Amino acid sequence: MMGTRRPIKIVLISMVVVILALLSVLVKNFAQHRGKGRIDIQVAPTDSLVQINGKRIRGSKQYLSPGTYKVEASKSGFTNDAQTIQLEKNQVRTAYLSPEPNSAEAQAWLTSHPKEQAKREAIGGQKFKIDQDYIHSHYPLLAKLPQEFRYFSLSYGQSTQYPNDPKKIAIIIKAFDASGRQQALQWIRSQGYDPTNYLIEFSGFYNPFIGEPGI
Amino acid sequence: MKKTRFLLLIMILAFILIGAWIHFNSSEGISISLDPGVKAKIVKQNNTPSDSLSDQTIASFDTSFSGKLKHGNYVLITTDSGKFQAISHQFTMGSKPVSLKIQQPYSSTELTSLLKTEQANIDQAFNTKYSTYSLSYGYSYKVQQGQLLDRGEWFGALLVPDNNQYDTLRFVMQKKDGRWLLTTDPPNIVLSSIIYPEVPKDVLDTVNSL
Repeated sequence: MMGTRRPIKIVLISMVVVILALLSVLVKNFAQHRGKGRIDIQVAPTDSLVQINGKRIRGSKQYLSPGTYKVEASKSGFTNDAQTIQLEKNQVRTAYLSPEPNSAEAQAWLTSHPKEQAKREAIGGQKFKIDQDYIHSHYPLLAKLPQEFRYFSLSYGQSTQYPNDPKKIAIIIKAFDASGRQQALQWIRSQGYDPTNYLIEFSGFYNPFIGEPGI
Repeated sequence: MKKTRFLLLIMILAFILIGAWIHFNSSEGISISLDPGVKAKIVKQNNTPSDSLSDQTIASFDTSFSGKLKHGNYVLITTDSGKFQAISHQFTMGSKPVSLKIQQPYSSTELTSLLKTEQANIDQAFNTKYSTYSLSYGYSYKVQQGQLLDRGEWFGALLVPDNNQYDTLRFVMQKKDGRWLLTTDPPNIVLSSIIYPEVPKDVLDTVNSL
C-alpha cells in the first residue's frame, strides 16, 4: 500500500511544481509586458543590423512602452531602410524592413541567396499593401476619383512636392481657368471632404509667388 | 464540510462585489487651469441628449479647479467671457490623475480689437516679404478679409488679384518673438494641413473658407 502511494505523491508534487513554474513564468511575462505594445520586425536580409531609436536590438519581437519609434535596418552594401512606428498600449505593430542593394556585391549576394531575395519580395509586397491601406484610410476622396467635368477634372498621383514619399498622394485638379479650379474645390466640398486635409496640385496653374525671391 | 464550502463561496462573491463596487466608485484627482477670470462647469456625460447635460453639473468654478472625480466621461464647458470664446472640452477620468490646462481662443470682438493694433505691423511684414517676390507683369494683388485667429498670434487673409481672370490666393502669417512672418510661403489657392502641419487645422480651415 505504502509502495503505491509514494509514486502518486511524487507525481502530484511534480505537477504542482510544474504548474507553479508555469504560473510564475506567466506572471513574470504579464508583469514585463504590462502597459506595453509590441513591435514585430520582419527584415530581409535577415542578418541586417536592426536598431530601434538608434539602439541595436536582437530578436524579432520587441515589447516597448507606448511612444514613437524609428526602426531601422542596415547592412553593408545596402541602403538603410527605416520605418517610424507610433506604438500604443497593448498594440502589435509590424515593421517591414528591406534595405535596397546599392552595390554590385550586394546584388550578387542576393542572387546567391534566393531565399533572402524571396523574403525581400514578400516584405516589399507587405509594405506596398500597408502604403495602400494608409492612403485609402487617410485620403478617402481617392475612392471617388478620377472625375471628369466640362470645365475641370480631378485625378490623383504621387505629389510632385514629395516625390520620394509614397504616402504623399496629391489630388490633381486640371482646369482651364480660375473659375474651373474653384468649381473643382467646390465639388470636393460637396462630396463631404475638406480640401485642407489634402495635398492639392493644380495642373496648368501658374503661381506667381513661386520663383526665386528677389529676382 | 458543506457549510465551509458555502461560506467560502459567499466570501468569494463578497470579494468580487466589493472589488466591483470599489472599481466603479473609485475616484481620481483632477486639476483644471483656465485663463484668468474664465468661468466653467464640469458636466458628467452619460450618452444622453446634450440638452440634458445641464442637469448633471458636477462642479462650477472660476479660473481653476482641483478635486476628485469618479471614473467616466465628462465635459468641461466654459462660458463666453468677452475676451475668450466659449468652448467645450471632453475628457475621461480613468485610473490616473488628470491635469488640464485649457487655453481658449480669443473671441471675435477681442481679435478685431487686437487687429487694430497689429494691422500696421502685419502690413509692413507682408509688404517686406511681398517685395522679395518678382511677380510677372500684370500680376498684382490686394490683401483682403484679413483676420487674426486663435489667440491673435495667427493672421490669415486673401490675396485678391486686380485681374479677375487670375486666382485668389490665401496666406497665413504667425507672430513669433514679436515679429510677423509668412508661414504659408508661397501663398496658394488652398492651404494644406499636410504641407503646413505646424499651423493649427482650425486656422487653415478658416482661411480656406474665406
